[in-house]
Amino acid sequence: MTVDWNAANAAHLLRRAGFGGTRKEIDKALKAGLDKTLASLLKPEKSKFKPPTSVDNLQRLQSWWVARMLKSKHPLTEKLTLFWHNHFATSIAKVGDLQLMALHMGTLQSYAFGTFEDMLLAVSRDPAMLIWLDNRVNYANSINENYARELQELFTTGVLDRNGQPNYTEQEVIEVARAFTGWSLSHDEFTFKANKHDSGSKTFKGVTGALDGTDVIAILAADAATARRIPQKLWSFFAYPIALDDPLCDELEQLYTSSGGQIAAVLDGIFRHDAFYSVTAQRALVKSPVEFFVGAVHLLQGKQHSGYPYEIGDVLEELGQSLFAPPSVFGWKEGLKWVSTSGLLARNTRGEWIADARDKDHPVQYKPAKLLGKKKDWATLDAAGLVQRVLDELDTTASPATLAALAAYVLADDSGVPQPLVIDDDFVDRKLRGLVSLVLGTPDFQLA
Amino acid sequence: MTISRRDFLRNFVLVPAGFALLPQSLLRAVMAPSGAGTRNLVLIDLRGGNDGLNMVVPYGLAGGTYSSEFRPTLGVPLSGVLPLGGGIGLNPGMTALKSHFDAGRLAIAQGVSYANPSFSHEVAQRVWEKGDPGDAAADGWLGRFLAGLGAPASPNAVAVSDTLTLALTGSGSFVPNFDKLSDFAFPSDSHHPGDKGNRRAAYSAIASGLAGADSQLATMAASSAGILDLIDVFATVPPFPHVGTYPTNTSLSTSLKLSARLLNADIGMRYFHLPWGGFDTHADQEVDGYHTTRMQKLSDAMDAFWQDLSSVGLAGDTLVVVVSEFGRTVYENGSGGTDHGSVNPVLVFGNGAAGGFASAHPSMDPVDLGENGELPMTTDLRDVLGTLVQEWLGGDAGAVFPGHVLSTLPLVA
Repeated sequence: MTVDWNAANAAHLLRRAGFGGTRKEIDKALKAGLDKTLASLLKPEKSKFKPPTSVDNLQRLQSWWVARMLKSKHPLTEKLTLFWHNHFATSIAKVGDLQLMALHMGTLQSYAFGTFEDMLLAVSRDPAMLIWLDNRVNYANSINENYARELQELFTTGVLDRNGQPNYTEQEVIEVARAFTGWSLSHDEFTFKANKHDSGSKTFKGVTGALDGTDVIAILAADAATARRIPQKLWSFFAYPIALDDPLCDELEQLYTSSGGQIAAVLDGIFRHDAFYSVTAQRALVKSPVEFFVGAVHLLQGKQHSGYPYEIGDVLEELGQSLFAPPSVFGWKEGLKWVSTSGLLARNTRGEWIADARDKDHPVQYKPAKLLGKKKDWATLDAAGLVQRVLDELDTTASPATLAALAAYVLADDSGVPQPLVIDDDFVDRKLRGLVSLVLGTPDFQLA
Repeated sequence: MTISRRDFLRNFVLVPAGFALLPQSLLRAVMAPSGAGTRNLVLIDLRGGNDGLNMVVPYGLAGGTYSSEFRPTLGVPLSGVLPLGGGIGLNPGMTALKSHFDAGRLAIAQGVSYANPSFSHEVAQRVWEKGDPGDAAADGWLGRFLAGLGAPASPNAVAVSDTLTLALTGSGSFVPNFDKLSDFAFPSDSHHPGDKGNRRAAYSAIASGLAGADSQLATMAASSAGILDLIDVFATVPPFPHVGTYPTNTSLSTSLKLSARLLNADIGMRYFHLPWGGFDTHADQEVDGYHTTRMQKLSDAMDAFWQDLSSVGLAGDTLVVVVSEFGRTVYENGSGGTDHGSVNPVLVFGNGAAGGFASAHPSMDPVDLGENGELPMTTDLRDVLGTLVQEWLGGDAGAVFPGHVLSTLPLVA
């Protein structure tokens, strides 16, 4: 299969493997070709992961991560970390320690592209996870099955296989819990408490012996249900939602198995697949709140104010995705759930907040005039051309009715009466910002 | 004695000339047709799997196995249980609901579950929200009930939540979700306030233009149009003169206050789904009295809501129902918590509730536990929800729960 590497497909890849490309970035990717673009995207962030040490509240920690996303030269690293954050959905609400949440995110990022088995092992020893799903108090003769259950139900095999048959029994939940007894914490660091570990014989998926957590992870990472479900979840997140019985899963499962569960290999296969660039895939996903916000600021060629403004955290909460605080262990509800009433309302309200950001201390900093290019060319634009230009900069489609509504808006004075188009500083401050606000609130902009 | 608004209206209907003196919203109440679509329902959803055994406590069943066998350390202290009769009592924090039980305003269906219950939060929650033990239905039970009512002039249901809940999907009409009315304002640029009308007009035109387009765009466009309508509707909603004392720092209180305000506004919103999280108590369930405190907050918040509704004459038209996706293991675990179980009680509360036990508690004899240690179910969840649909909401339980033959429970007076 060869992908037709054109501007539309390059833009599509940048939307999915990152937070959307500016016109300049799309041009660059187009010239570089698919291979080079992918190689760059799949290269993990080089800068060593340094969690902030001075962050004292959740909003600032959220703001710190958003700043990383906005600055990153490797947006796929951040996007993939978001995927894992929703997969291993762990919340400050129970963990209660910002440093441990930052370290948790570091774990997800460090292992994001590697083998799934390594990821599982790291997550199973991650302090935030040990608190979140209670394994820190899972002891021999007094097991706590919380982690054992979710490890199978949510993190690996899933409840049911492609044929609707259960992937595990209640007895296997207990056996796995026994295997993880003693995987605990001491002074906020992982520790194995040998005297709390049940070293007796267990039977799990046909293997009998003195299994411990590491053995269970090896079994689960290599299990056919996991090999099918993890790539299926990756495809659904990056391309479009598919079910376990979709024929595409056969190919993806093969990629997972033949690479020894290498996530980078699965992603490479996804981003080179015909179906990834198909009509079914293009503009088929609803942007998450983080994608909405980071994408908007990035496409406006803006940045976040320095010092991790706490208000960014408030914005994420209003939009419906408080980072480090997913609503429950099954994470956020994606797709159209993101843009149910309160989410869509917040995108309009916060779209305006972004578009009309003027103050030097506003959390978002951008210059609207940049969207129109060189000042000397402004005179050549008519209303429709100006609207199209802004839509292009914001990497957005629009129906003819939307184009007409936006063009009418651009020309309307405060009484709603159309006036001749004069692009000057007042127009930029009044109407160009208004146009940006409207575009950020359109249904089209919500799709990736 | 104060005369409530509804009582006032009931005394007033014989004097049509008085209509001229009534505000428009009260007029609508008087003119509302009787039958389907005239009663209110507030569904509180305890997310995470509430420990029903520590809410409705079977302390006296099977020779006291509750505390001697199953809950040696985590059991509610028997000295504090609020006895309801028959060896069953309420959690010590639920004194308010105990009074309502004694007054015949609280019905309790016990042992509610479904065949082959799932121990997964996700699956069990889907089953409850769909009202379908097979997890096959595409939509929610309240949504299917709403579909039977037809398209409302203005939204009649709301998920008081940051996402639309599955229970409310499938109505065929716009069902909003939100948790604050103050969010409903069209944004305006403080530097150019005169441009607001243009922005709103464009937003509206974009929404109309997308109707019938690609389905995701059309869905969002319908929501955009719905948001604009709600901005106008909510601008007329008066504040509620609360008389009830709600627990502080509890999202359930905020959600119930919002529900009271919208009910009182008489704008046609009658069905409220209120998810309330924090019940997945695998460890430290009673550290600092955690679960008992939640039970107390639940009871106190429901009581405050009832006081509020009573003060405006709405208590007779409104039932509060409390469900959870599953109960917890009968045996406490080794970390001061309980793991995922199955059967649970359902509370039905209000002046229109039948009062008393609507179905029997499952056996607490250890020999009767199921293969995964779960309590045997005595009551099908579809009979609980179906009775509410049929007898309270005036809907058609057969249409809402296809394939299930309703066995009515004494939940509704």
